[in-house]
Amino acid sequence: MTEYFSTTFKGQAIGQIGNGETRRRSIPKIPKSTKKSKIVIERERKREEERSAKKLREEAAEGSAPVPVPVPVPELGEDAIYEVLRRADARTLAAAACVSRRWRRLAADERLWEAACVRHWEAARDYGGARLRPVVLALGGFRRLHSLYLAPLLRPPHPSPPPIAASSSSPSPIAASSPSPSPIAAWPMERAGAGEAEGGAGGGGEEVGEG
Amino acid sequence: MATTGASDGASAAKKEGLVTLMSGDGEIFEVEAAAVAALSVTIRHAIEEGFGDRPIPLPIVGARALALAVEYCRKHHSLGGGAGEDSAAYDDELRAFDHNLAKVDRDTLFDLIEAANYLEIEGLLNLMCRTVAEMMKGKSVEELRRTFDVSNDYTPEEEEEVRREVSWALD
Repeated sequence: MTEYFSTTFKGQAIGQIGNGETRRRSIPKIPKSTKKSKIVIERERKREEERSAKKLREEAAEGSAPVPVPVPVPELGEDAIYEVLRRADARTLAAAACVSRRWRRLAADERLWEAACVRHWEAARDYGGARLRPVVLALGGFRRLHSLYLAPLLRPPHPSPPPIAASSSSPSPIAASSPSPSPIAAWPMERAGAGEAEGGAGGGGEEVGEG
Repeated sequence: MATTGASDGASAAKKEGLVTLMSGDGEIFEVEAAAVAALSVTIRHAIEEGFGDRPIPLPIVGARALALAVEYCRKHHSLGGGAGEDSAAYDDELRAFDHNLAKVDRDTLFDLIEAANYLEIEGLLNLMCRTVAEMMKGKSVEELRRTFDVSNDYTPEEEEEVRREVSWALD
């Protein structure tokens, strides 16, 4: 915990953090009550801006390129947040889950973790998504894979090795074909992952040539 | 191309090859139908459904974002024929254009993501989302809350729990 805060706050003008918990709370967040009035102010500002922008355009009356008009941004919707997270790396997904309840729900989507994992793996050019997918889903999902296996692998000096790493050494045995059912079967499958497992396995069939 | 009266726009839209778009805040844009239809699935469908001779309402897209999105469509249509980043037509000029477009401020970025999502302009959505994802990299939870203006609705216990859950990634 303390370790996390001292790393994430570096670069900010906060200085040495002895007690992350109190520091975190001292960061000014807009309280709900003032936020409401902020929205009202924002709305009024928007109207004002629209009026003046319209005037400007009428005055310009150029008829060439459209004049960019400053309009206050709507809060990003869930679709938009999802689209952003789909392109985020695993660490960002993890941090996003801590932002709020809604973000946690969004960031828990298996497909996001799949995308993050596949990008890692595709970078290594060893395994395509189609081949990787059924295997990882059978193991309990991409999020689980990342937390238990990839993350420690990517950070060698980590003191505690993951529990499944004991069964074999490198990522290849898992993806190849060795079914190691005993500890894995006990894992609860996530619902989304379970539902997609069949489709993924079927679609991946033709891709599974020995490479 | 921006005019302020809806009637102006409607009559002008009868000009050959033009389509009229109306932003959520009532701005009228007259644009080349071929360019926007090639890039935006939403507008392509609207034209197919007979919106070609009257303004297409885009209720959640603000004028600023719409202007930029239209510019994106024009550029990508004229230079790349609307092809994606993988195509050979995605040359240095287009890359430079995208690179510059992605330099807009945070609010415009968010605006453009919503616009690209609504207009179904895949390349623009991808570009903007990648930019925001890149912007999020390495940020602390608090920084993310500030960036996206999200209030923390966790109880301290819940937050402690979720942080513990993902501590493997945040350490």
